[in-house]
Amino acid sequence: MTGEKKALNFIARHGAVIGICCVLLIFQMIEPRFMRIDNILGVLNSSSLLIVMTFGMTMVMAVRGIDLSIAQVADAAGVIAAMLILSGKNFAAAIMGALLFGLLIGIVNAVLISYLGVPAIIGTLGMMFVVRSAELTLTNGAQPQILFTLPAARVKHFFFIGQENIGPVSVLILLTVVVIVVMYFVKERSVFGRYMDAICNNVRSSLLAGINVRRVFGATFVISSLLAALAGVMLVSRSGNAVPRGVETYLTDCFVAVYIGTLVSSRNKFNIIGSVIGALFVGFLSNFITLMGMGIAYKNIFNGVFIILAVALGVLKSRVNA
Amino acid sequence: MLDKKRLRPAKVGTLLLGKGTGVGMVIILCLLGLRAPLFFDITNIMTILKQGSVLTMIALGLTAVLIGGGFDMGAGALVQLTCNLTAGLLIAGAGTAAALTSGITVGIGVGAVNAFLVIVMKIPTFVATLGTMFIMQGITSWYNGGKALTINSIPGFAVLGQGRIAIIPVIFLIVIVVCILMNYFFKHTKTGLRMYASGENPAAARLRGLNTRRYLLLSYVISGLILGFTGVLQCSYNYGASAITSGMDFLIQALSAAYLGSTFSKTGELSVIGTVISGMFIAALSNGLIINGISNQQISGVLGIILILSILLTVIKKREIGQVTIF
Amino acid sequence: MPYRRVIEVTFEAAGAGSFPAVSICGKVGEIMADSRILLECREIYKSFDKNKVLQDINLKIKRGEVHALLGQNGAGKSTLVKIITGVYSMDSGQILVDGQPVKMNSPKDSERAGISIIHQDQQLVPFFDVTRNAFLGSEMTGKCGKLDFKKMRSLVQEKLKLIDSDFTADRQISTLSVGQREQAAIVTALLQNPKLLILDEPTASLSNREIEKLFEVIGKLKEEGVTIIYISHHLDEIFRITDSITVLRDSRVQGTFPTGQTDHKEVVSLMIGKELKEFYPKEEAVKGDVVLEVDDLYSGELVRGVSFRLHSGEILGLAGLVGAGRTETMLAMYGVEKVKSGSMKIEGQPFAANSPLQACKEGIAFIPEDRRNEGIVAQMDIGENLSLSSTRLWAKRGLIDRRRESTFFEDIRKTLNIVCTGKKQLVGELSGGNQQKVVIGRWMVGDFKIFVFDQPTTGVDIGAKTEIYKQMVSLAKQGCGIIFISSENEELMGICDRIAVMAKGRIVKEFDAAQVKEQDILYWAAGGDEDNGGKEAKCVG
Repeated sequence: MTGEKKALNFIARHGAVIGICCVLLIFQMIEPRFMRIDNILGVLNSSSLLIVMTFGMTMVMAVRGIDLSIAQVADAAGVIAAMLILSGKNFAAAIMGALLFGLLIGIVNAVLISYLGVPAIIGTLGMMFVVRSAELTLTNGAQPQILFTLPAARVKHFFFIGQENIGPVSVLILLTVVVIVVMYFVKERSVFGRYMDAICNNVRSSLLAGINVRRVFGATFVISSLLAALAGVMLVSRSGNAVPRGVETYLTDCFVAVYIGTLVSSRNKFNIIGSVIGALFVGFLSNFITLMGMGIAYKNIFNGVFIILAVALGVLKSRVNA
Repeated sequence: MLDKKRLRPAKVGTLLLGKGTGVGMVIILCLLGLRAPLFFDITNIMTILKQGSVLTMIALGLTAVLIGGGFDMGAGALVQLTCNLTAGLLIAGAGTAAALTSGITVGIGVGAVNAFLVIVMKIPTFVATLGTMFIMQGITSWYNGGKALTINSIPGFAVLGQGRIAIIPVIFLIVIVVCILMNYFFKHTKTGLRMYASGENPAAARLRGLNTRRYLLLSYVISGLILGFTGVLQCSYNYGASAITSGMDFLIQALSAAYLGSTFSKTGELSVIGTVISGMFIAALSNGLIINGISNQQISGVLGIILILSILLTVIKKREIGQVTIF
Repeated sequence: MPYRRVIEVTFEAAGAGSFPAVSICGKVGEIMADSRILLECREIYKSFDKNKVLQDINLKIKRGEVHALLGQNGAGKSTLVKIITGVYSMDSGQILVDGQPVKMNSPKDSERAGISIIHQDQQLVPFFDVTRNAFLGSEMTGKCGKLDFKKMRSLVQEKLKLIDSDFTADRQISTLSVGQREQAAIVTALLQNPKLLILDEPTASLSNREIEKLFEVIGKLKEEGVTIIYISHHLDEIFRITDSITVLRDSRVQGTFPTGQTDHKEVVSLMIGKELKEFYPKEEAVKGDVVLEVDDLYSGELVRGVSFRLHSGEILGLAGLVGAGRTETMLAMYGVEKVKSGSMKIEGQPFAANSPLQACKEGIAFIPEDRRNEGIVAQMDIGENLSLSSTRLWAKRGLIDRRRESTFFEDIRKTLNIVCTGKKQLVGELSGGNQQKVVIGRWMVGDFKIFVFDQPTTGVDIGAKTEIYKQMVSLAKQGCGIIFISSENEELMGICDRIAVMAKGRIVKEFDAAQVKEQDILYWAAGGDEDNGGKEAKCVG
């Protein structure tokens, strides 16, 4: 092996992790507050819903689908939960309502894409606009649904998810850990996850091996919408108000997280652990941008650069492996 | 062998494809017009043509990429970028010619970058254009600092977006000219024909010794040129650039127009003329719905449904699962 | 020796070392290497890895003739054609066109030399019209780069008239029938004004009427002085339309004959070769009740009334040519293709599968024909691949059980003798034979009673072949019913209990495998009928 080849090999194999560490180190050098414990905890807290949403995207992309509607679903689910609370329903009804909404959109997506054959990009892009339109109509043109001004008794249970601690750790983080564990088993260890892997690589073989391809493919869209709805509830519970279209920027973050996540896997697969790392990275990145007082402009540029870098590295990796 | 008397979904699909789109459009517009006669007023029609022009131009840019076998998530973002750039330059005192040149140059540049990422770096089209989309959004909001850039009416420049010849908007005439040029290019020149072939059936194109990558590059450059120019038009039409930077609304409308346009042909062939008709139809629909008292917010939902339906018409007979092959 | 060196050959299967400098055309009595030879291949050798695909190929194609290339699957026909058309490069040898040596480095070179080919799957752009398709890549332009459709269309129209087509130059490809598309492809090739036109299995997906039309076209082309190489399995076609026949077997040319001076019998015996080279581990299993009954099954265009019975413990061979509808029958049974009409019963219970999943639940296991695209999942490891058809049995409470996975893997690896580095190796990295074993191994866990093997031994080395046969026999002994589709009649005769021959969408004849002659199978597969069949069989016998 020549020196150049060796170097390429090394970059391909470990580039992602090294790269992430380097970037974080650079951030630390520029901004000393970055690695302080309270800051890190804050980032973990705020990354939790991104992690949950990213899982939805991971599941869908792991079978070569895509879901552009998740941010909008999260947004709308949050608004629905908030409106239900405002209309006097209890917290359980609010959460159920939001999740049911996620389920509904997921099923529509699944039918369109898996059973009718609409390309996922088009189908979910269309649904994104349908959901947005419904949401804006519902809120009379994006009026924020404010919960924190309500009497504490009415929202105490609902805010428990987003604002309370159990021991030293926040409920939000605990909930996220539960979701991580569940999704890890679903994606990486379960029968369903194995079917997903097969469909990702070879639909025809999967079909002939006796896998219900349409159902598995569709189910990932349902899961993705459900998780998005959950993330929406988490966000509203944390912030105490639901601002329509407030979650839309998370779509970008999801993509970056998911693509960075593929680099953690040896075969460039979309995977749960990778997505957690990716989402945390995005969380730290946003945090750094906030600490530095840079605006959304920089965040978008960073996101774009990292997405292209991640995929380019992935392409390099598969070429070196081949 | 012909199957006689058997009405399969495929046949219904084909039937709808052949005639359905055109007839459906006419019926919908007539219904809208019946409820609000104002809709068919000549000044309103001219307004629609003006309103739909920017959207149609974006759709044309996107059509060029789609014909070449690519995809572009960043079409809307590019228009926003060049629109802001133009506004900024004009505010800084540059002339119309300088604004036009810089808009088009940036457009071509972005197209070339996309092509580089896709062809040389071998990054799948979706991700590559998604990445550049984010970067463009970032640059746009960095450039305008989150504020709308409003320009005063500059006589020479305002003609592009606001002027009329007789009662016909200049911007619509521009669309027609671009449409004719593109149609000529794709239907009557060697290169255009080959671009179609290499986008539709790359295997066949390669078998005939065509370099499909060259045609993909060309399609990105052409699309960048059109989109860059559209940004300049948008600036003139809109008296500057708005602060909304995502361009996603533009993207969905343009995609709808392109795919809806493809349903005019039985085989789902993307066509320049189909795109223009569909783009104008979408503008007319938005206009008609507003006249009929439907709110702005609901219109984007209607557009989402149109997007899904238009593609559904072409895919229903194959009924594969909607996997994405471009990332 | 089953084949003879004929004096009338235009080229001969030369033994090692001998150089066929002069072949003698006995009938006409002329020395060859004259201007009557359009294309000559000299001592072409080609191998992939260690697999010798072509050895010492010598071939002469005379100007203006229709020359058939005949041989079983894997005989080397398509490789030879790909070398002639510049797709593959040869290891050694020489190609001469009009007596001049030509380097064929790319398809362009071959085109320049006046050779055009019409591939089995014609690559056309569906929404282009015939003219645009025909001229793609070599368009004609008029003023300012404007495409000169008038000129192109009239040229295409001329060629369409030449082959007497019933459609015009401005018809869209997507509106044409399969046969018409074939004609469009021929027109495309003709525009190059080729001296030599190669047709690769042109009738594979055509209806009878369309085939007749194609033959007319070939006749017209011959009148125009175009030389044609015609590749096909169908003997009757070949005897109808060709002037000479070259038979390939086992990567070598077995002989070339003027069509008029040979017959089915001779050609068939050349195609088959003699001795059974492979070991068939046939053991008799106890035949039980009928496990599968299929009655009058119709599906798609290619399955037209198939009926058969399968007993437990029985291996039923399905012989036939490409396009006879064997695979399609199995796909319909397995729930992949829609069944138009007909009934199926498993162990006496009627069933109709709408999806492979349902068929699996009924106990049908299916090993598909196209291993790479339909069998394996190349990017998954062996363990994962093996688990795909019975995943639930590999799992506890919905989660894959690692310990069970290891046991199952070890069991299957031992039974099928899969050579690999371990459970974690990617299936894409395995050799063809081992990949096939993985696909078969997928059905070893769980309760399957009907096994369909669709061409399981193509592209598989001899060792792996034997393992696969053994597995079939052992499954039969366990009481499963087995359907074995193969185009190599030899292996059907070696391993099956009964052989059913399919032609044109139905089963035309059934034989007891122990007594059948390969000639009979070939005869029936090529569309023979009862009267001649009896005679022919007797003659050969």
